[in-house]
Amino acid sequence: MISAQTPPLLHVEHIEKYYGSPGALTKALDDVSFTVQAGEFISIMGASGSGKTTLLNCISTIDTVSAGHILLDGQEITTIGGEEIAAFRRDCLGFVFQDFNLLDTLTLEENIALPLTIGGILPEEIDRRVHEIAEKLDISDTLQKFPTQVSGGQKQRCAFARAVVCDPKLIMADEPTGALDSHASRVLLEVMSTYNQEMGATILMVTHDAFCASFAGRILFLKDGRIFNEIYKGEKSRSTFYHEILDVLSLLGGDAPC
Amino acid sequence: MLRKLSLRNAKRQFSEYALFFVTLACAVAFMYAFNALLFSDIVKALPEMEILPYLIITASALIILIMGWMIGYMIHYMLKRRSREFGIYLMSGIPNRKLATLLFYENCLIGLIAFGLGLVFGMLFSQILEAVLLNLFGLPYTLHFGFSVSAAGLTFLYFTVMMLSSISRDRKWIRRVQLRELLYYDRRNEKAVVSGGKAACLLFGLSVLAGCGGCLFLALQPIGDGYDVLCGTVLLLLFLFGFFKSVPAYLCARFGNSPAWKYKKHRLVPLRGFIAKINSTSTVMGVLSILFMLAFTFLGIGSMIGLMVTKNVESGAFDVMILHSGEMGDFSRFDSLLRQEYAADGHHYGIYTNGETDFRIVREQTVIEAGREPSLLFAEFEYDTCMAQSDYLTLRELLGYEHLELEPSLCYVHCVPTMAEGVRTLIEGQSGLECGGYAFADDGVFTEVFGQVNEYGNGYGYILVVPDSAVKEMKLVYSVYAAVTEKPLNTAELEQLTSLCENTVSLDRGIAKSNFDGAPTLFYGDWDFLSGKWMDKAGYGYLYAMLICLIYLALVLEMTGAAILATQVLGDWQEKQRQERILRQLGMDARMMSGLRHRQLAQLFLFPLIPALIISGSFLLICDQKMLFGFFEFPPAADIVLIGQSFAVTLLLFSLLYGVYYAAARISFPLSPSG
Repeated sequence: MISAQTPPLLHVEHIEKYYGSPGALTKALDDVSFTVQAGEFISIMGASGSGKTTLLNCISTIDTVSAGHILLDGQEITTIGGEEIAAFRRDCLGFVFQDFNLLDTLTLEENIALPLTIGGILPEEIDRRVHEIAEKLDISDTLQKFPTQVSGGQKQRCAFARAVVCDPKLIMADEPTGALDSHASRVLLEVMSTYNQEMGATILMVTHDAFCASFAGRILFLKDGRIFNEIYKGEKSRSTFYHEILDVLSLLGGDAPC
Repeated sequence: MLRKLSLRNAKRQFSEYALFFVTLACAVAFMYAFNALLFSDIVKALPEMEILPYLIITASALIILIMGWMIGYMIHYMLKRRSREFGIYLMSGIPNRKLATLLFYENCLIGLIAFGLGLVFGMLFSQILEAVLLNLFGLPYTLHFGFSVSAAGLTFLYFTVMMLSSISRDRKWIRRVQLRELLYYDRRNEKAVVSGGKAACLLFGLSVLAGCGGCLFLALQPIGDGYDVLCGTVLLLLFLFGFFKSVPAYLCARFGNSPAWKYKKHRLVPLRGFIAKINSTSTVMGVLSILFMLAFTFLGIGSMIGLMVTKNVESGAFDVMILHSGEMGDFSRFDSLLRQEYAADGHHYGIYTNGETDFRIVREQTVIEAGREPSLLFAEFEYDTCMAQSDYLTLRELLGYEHLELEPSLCYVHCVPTMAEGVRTLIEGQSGLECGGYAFADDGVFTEVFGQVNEYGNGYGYILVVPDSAVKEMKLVYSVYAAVTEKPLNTAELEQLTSLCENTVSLDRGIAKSNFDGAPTLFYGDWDFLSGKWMDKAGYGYLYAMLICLIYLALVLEMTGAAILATQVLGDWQEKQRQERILRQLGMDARMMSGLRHRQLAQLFLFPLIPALIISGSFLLICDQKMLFGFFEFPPAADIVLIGQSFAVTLLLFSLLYGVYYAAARISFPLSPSG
């Protein structure tokens, strides 16, 4: 259970993001504020174009904000520049993407080891950590295979293993089940959920899939760049929570529920 | 509509494959420039150049084959990359026949642009080539811009053959191809990612053994009679085949399974990228390696020919030498003409013999020690040759050498540097050694360039410098007029000299006349024979023709290989951008990224080059040795030094052109947007 008294790991404060030229501005994010406690599994939902991915990109330093502040573990990340961004991403963030973003020329083992090699960790330590995480995610048997030789589900578990192998402060997932079948999606979400509960990992997941979102502990709904609603799972069962999500989505009038 | 589409596609192709088109244009430029030599009146007037047209046509035939392959490969490569685009055209209702026509128009348009551009550069390059050629013969060059219709026509013929043969193959393919095949063409050609295997490692080991064996055969020649070259070549070809087929699997097995190695120093991504690339292009890499091997070998042989000719001309020392057999000739007409026309300073003197062979034996030993067989001796050099001290000192002064205080009652020796040690040993070791009754000075061996490397100079290999009074008792072998001019004499001026002075002919070292006692001589009749460094140089026309053709071939081969390599690298830019984006997300900083990019590019550029350098290095070692053995009985420096010099020049020239393509690939590679 996460205590409300502990200072938040992530503090998003009145952020705004504009695109376009001065004559034709598009407001992608409009005064968005929220906090995330360490160890939380939080999902961001919304229709296409609601600003979910923009928000994730701003938090992950892939994009910049037009106004506002984002603090991760007390550190202002909107002002980080140059070489510090690389170090920040390496040490504090883990990414999982819809299209896996694995390097096809590396084996799954090497893909998982990649952020550790960039960080200059000793080879023995890399080997130990890779095998440990692979064991947890049940992909030990496929470590010597290349991404083209394994299933989508295995690829995404490998991508998740790569995201968590450095033990980052925040794991961000952008539509992680978007390219998976229902079985592989469920397996991955269970892995993420277990990892959150057992290891206390903080996960921020963007999705438009209600089933996927039902694995999170809290959901933020975005509409037209603003936070429209926020719901907690609390002690509810996942099935009840799923239906609650569908209700909110129908209120939003956005994408058809999955 | 179809023409509009062709035009737009050609424009897009042009920007995407700029390096390929520039190479095509350069090839046209080279072809035009070398063809222009065939039709140039100035070149036709050069001596000993009758062989040049045959060599250029042979080289051009080889170039048509190689460039034809390159064009075919590149067009097919581009076609493969555009297979989806062609699939969409078919889906849009354009029939295969029209698509083939579209492709034909596109390639013709690109070819015509490259041809036009090449002709313009070719005109410029032909002038540079002509200037270089005239300079080799010491003739003045005047800048003139002329367009040779015949050369352009011949170039167009070559170019058309190359383009049409390449395009027609793809035209046939696109006429037959199915829509599904086009849409999934890239997937169909995907090769499985390599993993280490025992068989591949064994093949790699065997190929390396074959490579070492081939080099050893060529270097040591244990069998003799040319079988070594045959065995060596077969082994080296086996090495090339096995190496490129097995190296990805070997690298994978050797390094891919070793976390301690691959996880250090950011080796992982370049190692795996490299293995994947060479696995999918092993045949192309093998062909590139052969192209570079041929280019380096041709360039190396050309460089050695150039070096040998230069050294030989330098060793001539005197600009003009007039020789007269058996008696002291009347050289006054030469002296006055040369002084008047060419501000020359000259001296005439006699070459005598004492009838002894003490130093001749040293010369023969030196030749044998240098790994050569002593050549058939000319009659004039059967015995030791001598000159008077006063003549020697005058000649030294003429050449600007340091003045010597010679003891009038002692003998000295002036010889080529390679003989000096043997001569000193003889003088020190043989007590009572004398010439014409005079002893030899203890420290009296001189080795400056003195016109002794070729026969009929100041002796052959050596000359004994004896007191003036000693030569009075000796037999005069031939007399010499040696002169140093203010500026080099070209072929026309040398011809003028022989025509103005009656009874004068050029000394032809290729034609010897037999004597009654058996030893041949170059002297015949009562003639004066014109020799000297510029005369020697003019006689090497056939070598210059070879040199030009070898450079021509080397340039086109290297350019072809480097262009394919650079296009291969640039063709992967989308994949590389994706890789960089992922690495950036994982926290790789800009400096590391730049280092990675640099390393990956360098690996690809070095990979086909290293085996090529090893093989061509072995070939060159043998060729250079054989050429030096045949050309110099007394090399002006140790063979290994000359080979080293030639190798350094070759490496420099090769690296310059290769470096241009490397830099072009480095600069042209689109960087992924930061963020």
